Amino acid sequence: MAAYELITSATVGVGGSASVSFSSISQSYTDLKIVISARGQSTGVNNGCFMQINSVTSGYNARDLYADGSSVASSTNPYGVTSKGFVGAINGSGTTSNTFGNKEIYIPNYTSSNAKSFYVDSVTETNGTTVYMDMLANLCTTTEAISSLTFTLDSSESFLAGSTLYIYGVKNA
Amino acid sequence: MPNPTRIEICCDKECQNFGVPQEIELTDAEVAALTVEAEAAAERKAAEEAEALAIAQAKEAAHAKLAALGLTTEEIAALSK
Repeated sequence: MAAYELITSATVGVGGSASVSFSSISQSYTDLKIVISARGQSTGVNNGCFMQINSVTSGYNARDLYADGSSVASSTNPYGVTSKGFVGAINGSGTTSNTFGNKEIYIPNYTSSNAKSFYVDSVTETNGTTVYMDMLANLCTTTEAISSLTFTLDSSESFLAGSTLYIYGVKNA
Repeated sequence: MPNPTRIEICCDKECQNFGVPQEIELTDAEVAALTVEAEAAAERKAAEEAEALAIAQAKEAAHAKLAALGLTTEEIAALSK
């Protein structure tokens, strides 16, 4: 039976943050799970959120199945970005105040010497007619073991205060 | 004016600052890189919006032509599904 262990967490303070990085991640787990509840600087209804593995800036491919409350569509490498992995939208400042988008990212076998796959369930939340739900399959061609993860937003915008990121280690034995 | 900051957290229990978020001011080079990225994102967004507008206008023109051929509003809507 898999056991989840909280490794650590981050809460963005007043003033916001351009990025959030988890470094020196233990290699003793089987998988990683990251849970994010966040809000971004965009004046629109959403900010795209991205994850970078170690210092790897190429070889990312995202397949996105998304819905906005009235239609469903799919895309490849949203925002045209392949230098990091797209992990779904978060609330922008154009959404209901004090409301955050939520997502879970699961990275199986993060210490292996194979290419790294990760999947994402993501939603934005607002008291309105337009929200974004993303289901993503991602692959990064790097064969490095994952020791750090860095999260950023599109258009170089910042995470706003109150955003939280939790990283869990999962042992499957 | 200070540069924006980023958060870094060491996940190694042997680390002196294990689990303690470190707020680090971005270097001027990092800020410049973010600016370039933001400009590229803005250009990409403008191109996507222009394409979406062109598609919307083409659809509107197509609907008008279908209406001129005698299709009802309901029939045109059914074709669009």
